[in-house]
Amino acid sequence: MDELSEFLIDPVRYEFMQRALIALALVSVVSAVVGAFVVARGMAFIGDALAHASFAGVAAAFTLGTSIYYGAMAGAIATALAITFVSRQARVQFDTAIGILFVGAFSLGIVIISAQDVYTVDLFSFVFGNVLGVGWNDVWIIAAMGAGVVLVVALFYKELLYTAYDPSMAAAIGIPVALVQYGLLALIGVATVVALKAVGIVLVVAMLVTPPATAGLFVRRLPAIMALAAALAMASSVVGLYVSYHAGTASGASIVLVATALFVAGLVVSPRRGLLGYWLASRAAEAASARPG
Amino acid sequence: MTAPSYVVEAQGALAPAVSVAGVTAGYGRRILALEDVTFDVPRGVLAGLVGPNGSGKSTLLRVILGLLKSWRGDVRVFGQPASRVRRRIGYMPQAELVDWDFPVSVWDLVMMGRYSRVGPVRWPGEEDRRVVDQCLDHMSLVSVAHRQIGELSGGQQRRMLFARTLAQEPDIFFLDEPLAGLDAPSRHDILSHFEELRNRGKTLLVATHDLSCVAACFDLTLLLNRRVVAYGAPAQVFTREQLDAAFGRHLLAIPTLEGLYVSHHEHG
Repeated sequence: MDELSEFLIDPVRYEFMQRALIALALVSVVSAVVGAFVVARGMAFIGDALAHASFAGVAAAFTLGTSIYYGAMAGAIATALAITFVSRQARVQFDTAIGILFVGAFSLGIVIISAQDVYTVDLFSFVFGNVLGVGWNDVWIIAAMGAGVVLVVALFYKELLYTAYDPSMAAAIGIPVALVQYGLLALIGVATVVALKAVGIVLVVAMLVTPPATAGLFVRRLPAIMALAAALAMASSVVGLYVSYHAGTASGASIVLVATALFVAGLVVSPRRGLLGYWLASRAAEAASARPG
Repeated sequence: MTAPSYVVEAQGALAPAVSVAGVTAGYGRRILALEDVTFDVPRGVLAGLVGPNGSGKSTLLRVILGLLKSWRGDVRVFGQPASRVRRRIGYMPQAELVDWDFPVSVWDLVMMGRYSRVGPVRWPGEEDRRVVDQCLDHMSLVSVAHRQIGELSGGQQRRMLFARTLAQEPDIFFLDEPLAGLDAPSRHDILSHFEELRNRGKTLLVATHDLSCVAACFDLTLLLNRRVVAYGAPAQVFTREQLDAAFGRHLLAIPTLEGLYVSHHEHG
């Protein structure tokens, strides 16, 4: 019993672990709220793209010596707007526009960095994530940006929902669809920046996509998906962080692996869409057809 | 250029529900879907929009709603551009165009009909919820209200899309294939809703393949095949000559009294 409580309580004694847990809880909520739209629309690629694209802004901010958050935000939002603009105006498929622009922006980031002589840990914590290195200042920034995202979604929930679901019907009742689409991409951009420091550019898409996808196996309304996804993301964060603490593994990747494991488990046990339910149903059908008479 | 607002309103009061003048429209730069279409729909009538597949019925509705810009011509709804009377316009799209996997419930979807009334930055209130419940009840969907939309039967899905349009409480209804895939009782049920709405002074323009319903219940019908083939009361429009002009000789039609022709197959 003592060992168990030691196992659970020991890590939380450290302030950096407390900060990490708070930051991850905030990231979980923001990612779930925005990620529910991303998964419903089938836009998973965009989260990945914006995270990578924000790297250009991170690199520029680093070079200029300004806040890396502002740089990441500028990079992500500029790319989000560019993707929407190109796909709306230039008759290029949406995913083609994403593919072109995010690799372009990421390359720009690499070019900016390679022109510098110094590599710093701080910069690379953005690439691979370093939630244990999150300071109180970061927590405040994450909280402020996250609150902004959630507030905007709450205020414009109707418009976001209708536009995501059926843009042409939304336009028919007078919703400014183009504006809402730009807005949704900007929200995704901010949400990726919020999650950047915690899990890093490479893994940020997992926070945005995996928990809502898992939630979608169990519940089938957007608000329910948001709530369950937030809970799943928090659970993944806590478990992942403990694994990382005790096994000495990378924190971001550990969290993502737990989230992935939860998705696989959900895939098996989900009542509506689960493999287990499917297998049982087909067994029952076989048994019924094999029964004599 | 701009007339004083009381003049605009006066024009609006006298204007027909829909006024389409010389509309030519299409997709991309080359695919012509509508050519020089002109007609008016007076207020308070139940009007049908019939023609073969690809005759431009859906395109015409999209142009009237302002979802597709016409190449030439002018469209007015209650004497004004559609964008200025959005709240009074209800539109039901074809069920085939709907994303049935999207995580919304039947109740959520019907509530979307209220969005234009709720207005930006606000959440639906008591009155909105009451109207949604009432529309679900009218369409016999109360028992499935909390299902995800993809879990309904084809007939239920169409009734749900109509319930959303009803929930908006518009003055004019543009309905794209609301009768397709419905069994006889649901079809009869929806038709009686159309008539009731018309009797309350609402205007309906209904794209359909069901010529016998149009012949039996509708006040006016527009026979379309990229151009207006004929427009008027169904009895005047459904003559062998004009139906042949619109459908070629593919329509299985039988003569009835007064030379009225009725489609034998429903999805012509």
